[in-house]
Amino acid sequence: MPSKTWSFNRGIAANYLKRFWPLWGAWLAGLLLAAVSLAQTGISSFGPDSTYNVWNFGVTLLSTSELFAMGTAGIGVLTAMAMFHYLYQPRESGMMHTLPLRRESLFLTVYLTGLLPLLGAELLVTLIGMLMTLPGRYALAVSWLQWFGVLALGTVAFYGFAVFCAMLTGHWLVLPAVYAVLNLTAVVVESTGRDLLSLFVYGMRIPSGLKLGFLSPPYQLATKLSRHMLTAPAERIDGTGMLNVYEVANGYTLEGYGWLVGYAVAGLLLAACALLLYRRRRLETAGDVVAIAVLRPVFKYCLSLGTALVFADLLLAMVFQQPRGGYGMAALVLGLMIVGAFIGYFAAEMLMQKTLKVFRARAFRGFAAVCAVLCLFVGLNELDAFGYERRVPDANEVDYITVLNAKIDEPETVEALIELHRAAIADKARQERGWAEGALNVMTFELSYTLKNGGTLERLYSVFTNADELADPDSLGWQLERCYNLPEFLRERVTLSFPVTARSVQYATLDVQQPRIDGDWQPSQSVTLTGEEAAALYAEGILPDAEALHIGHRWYMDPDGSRATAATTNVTLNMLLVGDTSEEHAWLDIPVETDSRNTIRWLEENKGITVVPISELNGDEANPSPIAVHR
Amino acid sequence: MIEVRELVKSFDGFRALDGLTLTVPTGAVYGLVGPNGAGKSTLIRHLTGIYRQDSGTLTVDGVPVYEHPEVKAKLAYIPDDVFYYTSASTEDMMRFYQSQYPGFDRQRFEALGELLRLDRRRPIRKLSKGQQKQAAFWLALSQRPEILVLDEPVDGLDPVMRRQIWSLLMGDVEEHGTTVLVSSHNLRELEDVCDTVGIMNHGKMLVERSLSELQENLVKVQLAYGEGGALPEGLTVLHENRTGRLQQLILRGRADEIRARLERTKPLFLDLLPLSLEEIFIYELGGADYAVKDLVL
Repeated sequence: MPSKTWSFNRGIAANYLKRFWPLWGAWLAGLLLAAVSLAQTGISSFGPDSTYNVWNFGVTLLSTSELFAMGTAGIGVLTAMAMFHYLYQPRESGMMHTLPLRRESLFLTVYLTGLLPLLGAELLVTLIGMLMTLPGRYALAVSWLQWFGVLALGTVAFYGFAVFCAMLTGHWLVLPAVYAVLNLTAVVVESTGRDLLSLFVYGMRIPSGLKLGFLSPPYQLATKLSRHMLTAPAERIDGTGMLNVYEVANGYTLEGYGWLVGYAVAGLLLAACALLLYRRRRLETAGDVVAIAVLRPVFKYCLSLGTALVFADLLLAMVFQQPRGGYGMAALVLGLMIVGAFIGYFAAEMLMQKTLKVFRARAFRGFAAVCAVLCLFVGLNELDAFGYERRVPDANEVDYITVLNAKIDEPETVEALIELHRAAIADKARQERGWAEGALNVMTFELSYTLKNGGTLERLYSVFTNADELADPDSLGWQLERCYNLPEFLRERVTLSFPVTARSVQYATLDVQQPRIDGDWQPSQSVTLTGEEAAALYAEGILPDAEALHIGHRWYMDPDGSRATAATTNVTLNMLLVGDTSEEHAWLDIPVETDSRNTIRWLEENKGITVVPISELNGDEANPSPIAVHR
Repeated sequence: MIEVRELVKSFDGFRALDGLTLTVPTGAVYGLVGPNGAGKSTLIRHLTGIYRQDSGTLTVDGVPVYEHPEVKAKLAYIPDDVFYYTSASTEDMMRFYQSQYPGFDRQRFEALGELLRLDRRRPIRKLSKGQQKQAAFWLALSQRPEILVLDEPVDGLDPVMRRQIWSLLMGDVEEHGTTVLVSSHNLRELEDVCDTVGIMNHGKMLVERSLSELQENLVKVQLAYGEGGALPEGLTVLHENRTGRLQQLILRGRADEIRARLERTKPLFLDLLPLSLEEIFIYELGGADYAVKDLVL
């Protein structure tokens, strides 16, 4: 005998199915169209030797499932709007709650009536796709089941979240807004907060990725869900007797599934929370923007603070091209945030009270509290109350430092970088004045510390250089240049993750930059190398010169390369390297110097490229620089 | 029996029901009246299980209404503004209610259909306001409810249909002991059908008595005195209107007692008249500072 508290009401379910079938019909139609099109395309590509095509079809199928997983975010909220819209209409709400059933049964019925047709549509389309493509290609069954899995998990996740949002509001149109905002709040707050802080917190580097991204399912799924074709190398001898290495399909991987499962579980938990809220819901809130009284101040203050962040961030991004630090920028950020907070705060009041007349003395007290929070946020960070700007790790804390994509771990180099970091902090006041001090150029340097305790510390500094600093060998710019030309950096610049051998080099080209004519750079010349030639240039020219510290220097403070060993010519070696299980495109962008004897000799002897000092071409014997001339 | 004890309900600080107490005996036809904003509709929404009270109790035969399906199954409610699904016909709504209410009587539905002569397949939204009300009655009475709650039930109905509906309702009351609670501003009609009346004001019950007791307790007197004549002391005068020597008074008290006291003062003319429910409403609320005010525009 069904429980009186928890029973599925077939009359209500039938009523809803009859009224809202176009919603599920549209979802089914969309999925069917996509699946049938895919299946048709796949079938037409399968041939006698169709292993690769079969795998490729599987990958393509999964890529559309990712797209539809994001689509479940939309169909989820639309379904929740349809299923629970009765809560937002006083008359319908009254009728539904005079029916002889408990709220638990009503909720269960409505929730399942919304969810099951969606899952049914997804399953039906999966079965149709399997029927079309499987005969003879049973490996695709897994692809189709994974396709269904992605969709079903996304549906459960997003629909559950939308149902939870439905309980927070009493207005039909507010539901999708709340849903969208809550889905994106974490990433928006984190990214705008970081953007704003980076404008006035000295040294702040905006890391890639968002730490709070996991709180935003659409963002997290878009970045984490991926599929890759797996390949294996195969060899064959071509008609000329040359050994060719190529790839063959060897399956695929699907990544990010765990996140989907996690969000689906969260969706179920949120649906359970929605039920708890529904049991206590006051139906007189139909029509209100916020249905739960205790959440009204939360809504108001969150909207105010959120608007403050977004407004300031947008305005600064659109209006200010060269943000500078210092108190001026902090004050500007604070001012814009206060304007944004004002808009958000009183917009929330207007929405909740359903009137434009909200500018009363009492309301301004709450706004004053918001302003106080913003002042604290900006003030504490500007004054470095948390020690962010001053933090420099000790050398014994550091495992390695990543700079210019190079992993630096030699003690001398680590010490030098830490000293450079301290120098940048000491020069804060001048660097924050930036272009105002007559800067001639600006360099940026990033430090990414990996600490022995597993932690990381990242900093980004802009180094402005004016004429005085150009003449001062101890200025921050010169310190930076010396640091970047330490031996470990030079070695890192010529190190590749793949071995460069005649076998691993699939193709290689040598781009040789031509000398300037009347101050204008000429297009570079491209010379093709065989695998053996590329390997030889690397092994006999570049590596020995790097070992002798005669190649690979970077001249930031004197980019025109007027110094004795400075180079105005870059030799770029582009290679496709093939390993046992993967391939990599690699290139070495090497400034050739007058001391790069091995490289210069190899270029002359093997390719007829003569490297001459630029002074010979420019008539400036006092400042010889090498330039490569391909004869 | 419907029992409401010290019911309190507030909306954003406004106390809509302020310790309301009332009793509706089984089988009674209870008229719930009161000025606009008295809390009648709010009370009705509690009675039908839509709202949850802040405090107090509301029971039907000792069982709370809120979240008790077995009580709601016995209850039918016709609001002043009837709800129906956008494209639903009376027949669609019939099927829906039939699936929800175990006591729904299909045969009665068919019999009432013969009487009301509405097109059951036509979408309700395309019916006139009066026809929509008829459809609401059609569905509600087919549920065979033990308790019928009506909010402005005959608003929009023509006089013939009004009589028809009241006749059906009274028939159910007489035959099945249906308890009816009706809220209406049409006191003239309520007077013909109610046996108990509750007058609400500011969220409280002002007066709750049987209609006959109410009528017994207020008297309209027309009298005229000659020279030197005057009203006796100690009479509770709720309203006085004078035209020359002729006085029209509304007095609280029993008619026979008041007649005896007035006759001792030897008026030239004395006549006692019963009050209508509308007059009782006006004069009771006049005592509660809700009187008709003479406006000079």
